[in-house]
Amino acid sequence: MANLRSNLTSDHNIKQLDTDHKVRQLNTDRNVKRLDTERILAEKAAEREALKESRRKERAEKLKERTYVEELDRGVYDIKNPNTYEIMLEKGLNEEIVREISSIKNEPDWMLEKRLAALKIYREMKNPNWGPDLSELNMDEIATYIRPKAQMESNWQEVPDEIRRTFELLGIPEAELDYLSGVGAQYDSEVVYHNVKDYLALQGVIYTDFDSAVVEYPEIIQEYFGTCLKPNLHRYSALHYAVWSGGSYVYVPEGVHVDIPLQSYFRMNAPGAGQFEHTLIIVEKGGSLHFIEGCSAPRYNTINLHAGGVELFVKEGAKLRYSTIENWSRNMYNLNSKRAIVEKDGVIEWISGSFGSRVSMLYPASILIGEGARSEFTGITFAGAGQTLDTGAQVVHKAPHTYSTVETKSISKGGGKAIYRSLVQVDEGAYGCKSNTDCQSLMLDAQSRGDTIPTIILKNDDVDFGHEAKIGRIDDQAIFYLMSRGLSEEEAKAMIVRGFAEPVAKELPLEYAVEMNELINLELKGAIG
Amino acid sequence: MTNVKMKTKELRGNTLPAITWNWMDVNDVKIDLQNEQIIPYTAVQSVGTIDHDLKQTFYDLDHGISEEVMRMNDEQCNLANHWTISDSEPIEVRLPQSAENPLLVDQNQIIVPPLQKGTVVLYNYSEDDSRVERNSTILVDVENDAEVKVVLIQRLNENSVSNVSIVARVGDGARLNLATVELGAGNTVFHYMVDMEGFGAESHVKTAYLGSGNDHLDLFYHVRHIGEECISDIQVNGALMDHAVKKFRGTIDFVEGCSGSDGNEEEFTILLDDTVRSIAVPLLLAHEDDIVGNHAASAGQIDDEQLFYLMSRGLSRKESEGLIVESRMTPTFDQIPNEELRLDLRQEVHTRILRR
Repeated sequence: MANLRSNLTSDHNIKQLDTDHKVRQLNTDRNVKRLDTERILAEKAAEREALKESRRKERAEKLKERTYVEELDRGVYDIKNPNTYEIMLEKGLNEEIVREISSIKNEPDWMLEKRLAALKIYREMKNPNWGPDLSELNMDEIATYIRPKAQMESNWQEVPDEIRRTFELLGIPEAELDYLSGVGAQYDSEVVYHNVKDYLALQGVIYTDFDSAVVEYPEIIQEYFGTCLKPNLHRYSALHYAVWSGGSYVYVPEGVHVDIPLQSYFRMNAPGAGQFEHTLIIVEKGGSLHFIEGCSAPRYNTINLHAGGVELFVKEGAKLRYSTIENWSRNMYNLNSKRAIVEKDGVIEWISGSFGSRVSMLYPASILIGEGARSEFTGITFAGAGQTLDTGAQVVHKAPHTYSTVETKSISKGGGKAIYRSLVQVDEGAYGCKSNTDCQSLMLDAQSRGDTIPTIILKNDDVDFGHEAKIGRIDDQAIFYLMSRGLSEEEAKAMIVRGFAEPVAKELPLEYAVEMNELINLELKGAIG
Repeated sequence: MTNVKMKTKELRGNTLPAITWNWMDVNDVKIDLQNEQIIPYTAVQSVGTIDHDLKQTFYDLDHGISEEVMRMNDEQCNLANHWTISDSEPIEVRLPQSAENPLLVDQNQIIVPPLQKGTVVLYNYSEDDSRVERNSTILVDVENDAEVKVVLIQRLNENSVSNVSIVARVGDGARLNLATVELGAGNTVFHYMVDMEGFGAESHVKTAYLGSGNDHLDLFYHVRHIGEECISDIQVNGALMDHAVKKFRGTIDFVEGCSGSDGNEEEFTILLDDTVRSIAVPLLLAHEDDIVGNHAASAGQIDDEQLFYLMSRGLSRKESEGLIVESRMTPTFDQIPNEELRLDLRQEVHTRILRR
């Protein structure tokens, strides 16, 4: 018995020892594991630090190669004329000012009523809670109407020297001779020159300033005015309808093809002013037109505002191409509204280049109401230091078998913000629609910002829809390749950016493509090289 | 009328990091949480206590669906789970709801210490036809060089409401894989927000959804690249039928300093009926040039050729459709470790398409 007990005790002891041993072993294992973990972590952390360091060096090298130029000489765009005018209404916005604009223009009563109704809407609406900050924009500091010392002429020689010289430097009269079928030139609030080639006038094409159109074609204006772009769309469309002045009216009769483009050029010279031109274009059944709009202003230290309105009516089987090259100065708030209604088998093509302004909010809209209607949007936005360019497009497919494409390119540099914002909506019953969007953003430095904010709303199942977006920097390999072919780094980068902008450039008439390339080169000078 | 408790204001949440035109109604969504009481949840017992300090630091990052929804989650919490992951078997938690358990307000914390790997599956489903509500928060902290897979499966019935907020933080060289399956709930609000703080952190998201009946799905993702050389992708695949409405709103946010980062988001919707509504808002926000960001969204009907091929092999039209829809969801289903569950979900997709 005693033996058995002693055996048991010894068994127990052995077991105990075993357990102790195992626990010790486990503890050592755990310690080893813990030490292992610590060692591995330390190793990994060291590796990472080394990698981080080397990457940072690489990046610092790259950054060193870049030089920045704060303000660029924008050449002819920046030429300022003395601010002489015949009438300049006091700054701010109230009912009296609106009545005064209307009475200066000798407008019919219905127009004044529309203005006053729009003013009421403007007062009720707030600035948008999304997008760029508009708090700097103070309507009390902006003169809504400035009449230059000039009458509207149809001969450049009659236009006052100073104003004519500005347009000459911008190349407008020369362009008219060479490749335009008609030109309108607006200086501050009034159109100073308007002309259209005789053979088009004979075919019934009307191209005139909007003020004259209200007087000469009251029925048609009353029928169409404010029906495509409504005053209650947003705050600045309401403002536009309250104080609009100048702009163009184009009428293309049924079956008439305007084979060479028409152009309107909008120039703002006065500081602290607003330009609110209204453009209304009607292309009747089977007609076609290419309309070009150019905008610029010299740079001042006060805020200027551009809130134009564009209404386009594209009838059955008609085709309209609307091109804009905008190079407002960096003190401009460009809150422009553009809208097109496209009927059966009609085509609207938007070409849009946004280079200037401090803040832009511009989203041309295409409403496709007829079966087989098409919209094609091609846009480029180049945001430099101090600029916030919030641009994009809107397409609403309201009819079956409608088709839309949106292709945009955004470039930002030197702390500029380029924001792409869009809407593609396919409504109930709009079967068999196709839509394709492709937006690309290129950022030239780390201070800049490139955002893409698209919205897609599909309300039926029979759609073929695609959307793609890319954002990033210039590919080093592409630069290396071009440099290996004998180009300097600067040339290589400029070539890549021009290539990036190519889809827009190729849609423009040659002379404008050249101008756009020059604008890009100008913008790029400070950014890379 | 007297017994209806009126809310003082409408709850809204999932607000876009960069808002856009208000009239489109895509900036935020309406949240349908009606419960204001504390009701116990008994189907699963609590497996841990919540680390409140940790929670606080997470809530500083983000408000989840909305501040108000997070507050309700705090006040009404009836299930708390806390896991510190070590290399181990996948953790699978089943969260059934029924007339007996109409409310699930769960708080989950998943902590993955350095170098550890793990998998957590949370499976929430209805056991009957009664209306149930879920308001869930899931905090995921992936420390340096760790890796975790989080799988969320939601199969509540069409009368129910599901609100899930995931807030995550990913450290140096760490990786978060998230797979979500949304097959249920008449009203689904999903919120995913990740801060990729570490060097070379990764976030990979795969979502599969099927919307039918009058389902309303809001799928919200906000991926922030903060550390250098972070990699992220979001892949959302699904199908819509009947009167279902889906909003996909994904943002890849490149914060200044995230040099060398790469972010992708891709959304693909199959539209099975004329009456569905598909909305997509894929955002890219870039505050850094040395990055690559891509997004692609597409939608359309099932490819005729694929359908023709399958039907020529003797399958019916609906069977073929089911097969094609399921194939789009396979990458997400493949993330589920439990094979039985995986098969079950596949079956459900088929059945629902066949039944339509």
